[in-house]
Amino acid sequence: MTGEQLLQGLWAILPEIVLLLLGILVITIDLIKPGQRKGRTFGALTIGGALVTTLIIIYQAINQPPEPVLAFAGMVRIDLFVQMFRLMFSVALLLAALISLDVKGVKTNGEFYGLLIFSTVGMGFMAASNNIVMLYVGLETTSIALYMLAGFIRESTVSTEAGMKYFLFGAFTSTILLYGLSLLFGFTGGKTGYAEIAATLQQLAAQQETLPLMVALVLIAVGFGFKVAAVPFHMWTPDVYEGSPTPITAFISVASKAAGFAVFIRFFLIVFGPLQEQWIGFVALLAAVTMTLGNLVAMQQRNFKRMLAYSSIAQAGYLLIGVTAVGELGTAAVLFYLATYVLTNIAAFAVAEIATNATGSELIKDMAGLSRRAPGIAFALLAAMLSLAGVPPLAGFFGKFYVFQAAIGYTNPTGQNSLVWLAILGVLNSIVALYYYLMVLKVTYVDRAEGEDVPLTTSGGFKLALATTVAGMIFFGIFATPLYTLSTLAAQAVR
Amino acid sequence: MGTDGDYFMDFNSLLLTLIVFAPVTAAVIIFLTPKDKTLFVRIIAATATGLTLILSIVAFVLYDRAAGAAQYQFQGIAPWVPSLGISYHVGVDGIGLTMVLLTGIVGFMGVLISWNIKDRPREFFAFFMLLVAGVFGVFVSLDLFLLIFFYELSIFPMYILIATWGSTRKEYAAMKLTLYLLIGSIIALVGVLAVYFSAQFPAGVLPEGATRTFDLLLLQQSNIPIEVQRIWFLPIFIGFGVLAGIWPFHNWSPDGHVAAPTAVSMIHAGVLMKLGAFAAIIAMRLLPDAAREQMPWVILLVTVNVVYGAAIAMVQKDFKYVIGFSSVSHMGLVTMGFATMNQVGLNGAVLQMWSHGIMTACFFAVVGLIYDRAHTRQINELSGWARYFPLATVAFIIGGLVSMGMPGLSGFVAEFQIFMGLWQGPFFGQIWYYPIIAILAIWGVILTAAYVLRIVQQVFFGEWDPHKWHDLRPSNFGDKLALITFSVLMIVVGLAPALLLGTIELGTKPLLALLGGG
Repeated sequence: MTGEQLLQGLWAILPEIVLLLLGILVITIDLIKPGQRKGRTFGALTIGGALVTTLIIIYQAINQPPEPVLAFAGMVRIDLFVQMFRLMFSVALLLAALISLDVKGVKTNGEFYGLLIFSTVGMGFMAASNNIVMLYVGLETTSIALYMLAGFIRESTVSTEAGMKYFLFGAFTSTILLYGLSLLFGFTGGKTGYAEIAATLQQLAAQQETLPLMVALVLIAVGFGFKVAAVPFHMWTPDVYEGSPTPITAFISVASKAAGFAVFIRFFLIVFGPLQEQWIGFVALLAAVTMTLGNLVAMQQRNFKRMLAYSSIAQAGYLLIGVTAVGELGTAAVLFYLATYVLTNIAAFAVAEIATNATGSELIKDMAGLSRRAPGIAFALLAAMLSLAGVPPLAGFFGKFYVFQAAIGYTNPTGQNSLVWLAILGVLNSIVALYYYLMVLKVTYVDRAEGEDVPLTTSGGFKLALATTVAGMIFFGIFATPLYTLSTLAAQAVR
Repeated sequence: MGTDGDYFMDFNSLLLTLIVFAPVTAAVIIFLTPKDKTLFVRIIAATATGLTLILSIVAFVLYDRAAGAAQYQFQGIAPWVPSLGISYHVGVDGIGLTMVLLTGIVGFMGVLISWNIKDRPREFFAFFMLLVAGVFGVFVSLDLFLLIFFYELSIFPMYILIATWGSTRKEYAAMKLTLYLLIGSIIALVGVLAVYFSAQFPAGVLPEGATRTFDLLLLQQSNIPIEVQRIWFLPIFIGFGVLAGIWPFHNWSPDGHVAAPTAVSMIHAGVLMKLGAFAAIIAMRLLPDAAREQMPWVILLVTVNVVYGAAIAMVQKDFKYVIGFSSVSHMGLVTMGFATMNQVGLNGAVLQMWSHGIMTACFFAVVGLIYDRAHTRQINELSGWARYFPLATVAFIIGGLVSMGMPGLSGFVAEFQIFMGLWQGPFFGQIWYYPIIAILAIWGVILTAAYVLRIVQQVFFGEWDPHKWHDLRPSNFGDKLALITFSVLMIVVGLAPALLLGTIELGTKPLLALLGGG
């Protein structure tokens, strides 16, 4: 490796380097002066660092060369697709840190912010990986930090339980993933790079030797399915979402899911591209089951965070529709959907934390009277719920529209529109979902509660996060074109 | 096409956009107003809707009716999502123009009627403004995506408005309404997407570089394979038709009307249900071949609407439910008019949309006035209100006569033409059961007379006992103005239907030509 290549490689992974240094800085400050009150130093550092990273990513994305940058002997591949995911991760980090500033048990804890940053670094490498070894390293870096964060509040039994469950499920599925990857390694005669594996698979598919490959594919899908919370690998979701500190729940539900989809799309479109005809039916089924089960169970939840957990499972189902509709439209739809989902879900969880703080309860029915106590917060919740439900003029409407449009427009190699059924199922599902999202709004806007005249005060961090996310939801719900253009460009860069 | 006023160069092309965005702006201002500035909120709402009323009258007057003038006028177009062929394209033909005027009137009167709303007026008016904006948006959209965007935008504020400010099982009704309507709209959306992907354009229709479009005027020039048309006509037509209360998907409507606060009932029955009919015609425009084959089946469904709706209205004990079911019956006549597929039937259908809009808004205004004082709507508990509210009584009786189809009033002109259309049959030849349908449907009109007279007799005449009611207070200026306006409009349009019919015909003629007739 020449010096020039090294420099190019370092430049390519600059956002990760900055975040890594930031994480080390935060942990070091935490270690140097233990026991002292450091207030919001760590939170502010994290927010500042995330902001800088975001700017770096935007700068890099603007100057992105048309050809993908392959760095470190092809271990890492940087293109617009990766840049868009990095952008989502850093924005999610920024917002998660913002809503952590006033959360009991985590707000002044340097370790907490450090882990948050390290897991973001892992996600960046997951999205950028171009090699199965790199993929696994990125995935584990992300996951291990998140396991600890989920169980971060050690005094709380639910939090500890959440951490333990997340770890056990995560370790289990990651082993299955590793097994699948090792099978792939064997079948291809020791290849690890995506492009090389794909080339070998092309030959094997031409010889009709796909059955063993399908075994590897299913095992790998288990690992990715866990990350994106697809049924039947979703069992951890409700407990982890309920038990984790709320900012972490928000972060897992958006950033970790986005990272899961980054590898899902890359891997299935590139590595398993030659097997496309074989896996489309499988992933379509996964999408159908995921959204249907997620929505049906979400309807019955009384705890707001658990409801959001099942709703996020259902959202994974819609996103999988976009993955199934292989092609530019489908991938662009997933990217757009995920980007708006980052804003929406963080807003929803921020309101969950505010409401829980005010009433001491996580139940939906205890959010009654919120619109009288805090009209602004209630409005943010309204926007988040309607955006999740896909109602205009909010960003979620465009997200759903793009996904369904991609599914209806998809034509299989024989020229048939074979995914219309999936779009119709998705549409019916979004009606079911509307029901439970509206029920939340009913409670906050219609139901009366004791103490509903007591105004609810909210701290600045939450206000800023909510204002940003709501503004984003409305902006992208009306002017969707810039983001959609970026998504389309990113989708073109996948292959 | 679309050459007059592209890209918002002049007042003409901005007019419709102003109409849509005046209420949106008002909603934003109202949201940002401090909680206790109630009067300011009301004034903003009244100003915005008043402005839209004036602008819609201006549009109605300025519309060029000369022979050879463009069908769609006041067009403005701006790209929105160019890569998918989505644009912000607005414009109205005779049908849309009539509906815009109707919305302008009912929206303004709705604000006047709800002037004294007490619970969180700021939120009420903000959501009401969004609702009005969404309704205007649908009537002026010439891009199918934009249409669905506004369509759904006008549905969700209904949920909050009904569930929060409504009465009588309001939460149940609000949820039912929202789910029904969104299921309909989203199924129509799937159908629209299927059409979007299968449309084949003759060379030179699409702008350079584009392969697909949601633009209605361009899609009308495309060839859509007959198999696609056959599959997707009913999903789109009925999907939108849910909002027009097509049987058996009408169930949300009486519950919704009854539960909604007065102003919302007015907008809802008066205008929102027309949105369904208006959007359903889009299915006929897009898929004319399938429309010719399948509309004769749709007419069987709406016959049930007309007769069954009226019969159910007969036996209701709740005053407002009577009006709710009467809407189901009258909206059935609208769809029936469209299904006749001839000039006179189509004219009747659009005029019925207008006539029913004014009439039912008037009904709900009167019901709201009485309910606010009596706190009951049970017909057998109310009596003698003519003594207390002579003006409201007159307005209600005029509305009732319109609803029964009395000559000299707007309802007669509309319903007469619809029945004429039925006898005449579609332009491509009589279908044997159309006269039978006419005979069946006339029973709906007869039943209407029965339930209207029953209400008038029970509620307005009979013994007046002022001591029975504890909350009596006179109606205010806004209420009176609304009732007088509605009454005058019903009479004027009844005596001089040409005022509207000339304009309506400019919209229905091209529609018929598109279907292959005329």
